[in-house]
Amino acid sequence: MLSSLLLTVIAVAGMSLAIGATYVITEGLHDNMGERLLVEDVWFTSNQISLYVRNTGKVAIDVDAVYVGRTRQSFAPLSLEQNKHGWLNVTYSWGADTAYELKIVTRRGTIIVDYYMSPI
Amino acid sequence: MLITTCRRFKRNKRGVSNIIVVALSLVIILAIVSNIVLWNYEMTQLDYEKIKEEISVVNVESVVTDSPWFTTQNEYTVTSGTKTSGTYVDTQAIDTDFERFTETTSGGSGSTTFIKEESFEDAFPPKGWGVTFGSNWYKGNEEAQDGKFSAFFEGEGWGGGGESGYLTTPSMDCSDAESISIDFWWFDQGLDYDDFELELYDGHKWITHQDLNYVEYWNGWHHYTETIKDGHYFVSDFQIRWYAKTVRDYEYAGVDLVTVTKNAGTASYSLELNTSFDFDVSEYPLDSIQTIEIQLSYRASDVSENWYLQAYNWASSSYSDSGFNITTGHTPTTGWDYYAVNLTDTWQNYVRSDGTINIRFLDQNPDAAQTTVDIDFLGVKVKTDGTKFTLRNDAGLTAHIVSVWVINSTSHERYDVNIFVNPAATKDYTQYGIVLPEEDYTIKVVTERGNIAVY
Repeated sequence: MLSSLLLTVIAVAGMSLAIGATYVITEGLHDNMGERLLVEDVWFTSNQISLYVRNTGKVAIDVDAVYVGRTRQSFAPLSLEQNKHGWLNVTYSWGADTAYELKIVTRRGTIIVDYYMSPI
Repeated sequence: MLITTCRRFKRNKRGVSNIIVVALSLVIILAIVSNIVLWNYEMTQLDYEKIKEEISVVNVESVVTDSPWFTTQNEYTVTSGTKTSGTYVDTQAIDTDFERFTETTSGGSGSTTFIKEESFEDAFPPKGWGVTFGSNWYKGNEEAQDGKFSAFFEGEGWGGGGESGYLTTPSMDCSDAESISIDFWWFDQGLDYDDFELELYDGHKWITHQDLNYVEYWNGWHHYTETIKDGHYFVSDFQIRWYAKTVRDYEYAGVDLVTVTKNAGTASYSLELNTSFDFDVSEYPLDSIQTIEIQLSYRASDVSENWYLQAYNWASSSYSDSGFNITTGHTPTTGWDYYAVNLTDTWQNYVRSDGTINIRFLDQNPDAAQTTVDIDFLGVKVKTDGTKFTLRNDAGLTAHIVSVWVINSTSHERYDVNIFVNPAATKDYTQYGIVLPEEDYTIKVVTERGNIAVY
């Protein structure tokens, strides 16, 4: 009788852990899959590259890192709820008539990257 | 069967833990399916729709566009005059409904005729009039200055006798009079001095004003006219009476065609209305406005004076029409008239930074005629620089445009828009406030799904 009760408790505890882990893992995957963002415009201004970012996904996004080429750059923090948009200002001393690879990385790891030409 | 199964479980205690494990495993599978599989399907669908979307910008051109009419959203403030009927809602559209206003006077009330050409043709005495009961005043047809009848008094008795009686007018409010005009014809047949007297009531007592035989003493009809300027008689219950006094046999007195008029000073009727209009400066930015128009549809009951539309000049803090294309006002026709003014390039003086325009509608000058004005419509329209985009959607899905960019070497201007373009359709869309650069520029339109079309 006692052994049966113990077995039941172990089963419940084990499955609860399994459910919790499943929830955490799938929730992360869910959010990762729901992220979409679009760079509407890129504007090269004095010592700054401004990217206008729109959240076209199904979850809120936080910009975690911005890379120009392979180098991480400082930027004004930007968080966007679903369907929101705003400027992402990256401090960078750019040169004229040059192609720059700009990469935006979100906190969940979504990456969008493209090349943009600076003005002459 | 169920009983057998329960007995088996009772014998095998591990069965319970097996059920728990199976049930909770199903929960795990459900979580995975809902969070991953279904969600993955939804996001794949989103990506698929984005790929299928085909929006393009066919043409972009600068245009000057008219805004819709902005109408007042509050009741008119009547500075002079009075609202007679209707509400401001009736002035929001050109239709059969209108709001009516009437001029009021700021001076005297003008002339008021209390008795107009009373010739005693109907019931005697006329309504409001009085005669001494039992006296010899009657509706006579022996002599008449006008029509067939007159008020007649036949004498009676001989020697020192004779008949007497009064013919009295109704009471007349002359408390605000500046003068009282009396006009009548009277008849004399053998009357002597003191036989026929005109008496006036001053609110307290009757005063003998005129022995008519002293004015004219021969037989026949005589015209009597007088303007009384003695303030003594400017009372709220002023009356006139004719006193036939000891009139003997073969003597007659008569009265006909009586007119009594009060003059209460020069009337100066006027009407002045104020109201405000608001337009959204975020939709119609002030720096893209070319001019502003005001249009009025109205009907005035007389044509003797012009009517003016003015706007509040925020710089000089006064109403004015300076700089308008028409500053001479509008002459009504007594029918429905349109009166429109353009604020030309002086509109900035008349528009507050939040898009408020205060409008005044008024007559030229106070005058003696009391005019009724019906307003069917009063509105303000903004003429704005804008840009017309021609968008084409070649896909089988409706495209939702959420933003437009106008980019040149010195500026990247973004505008929030909300345009839906049906599948396989071309749509013209005009955005107020977008001024295309004179030098080279690029137009980008962005869809909600995340596609960008460039022009």
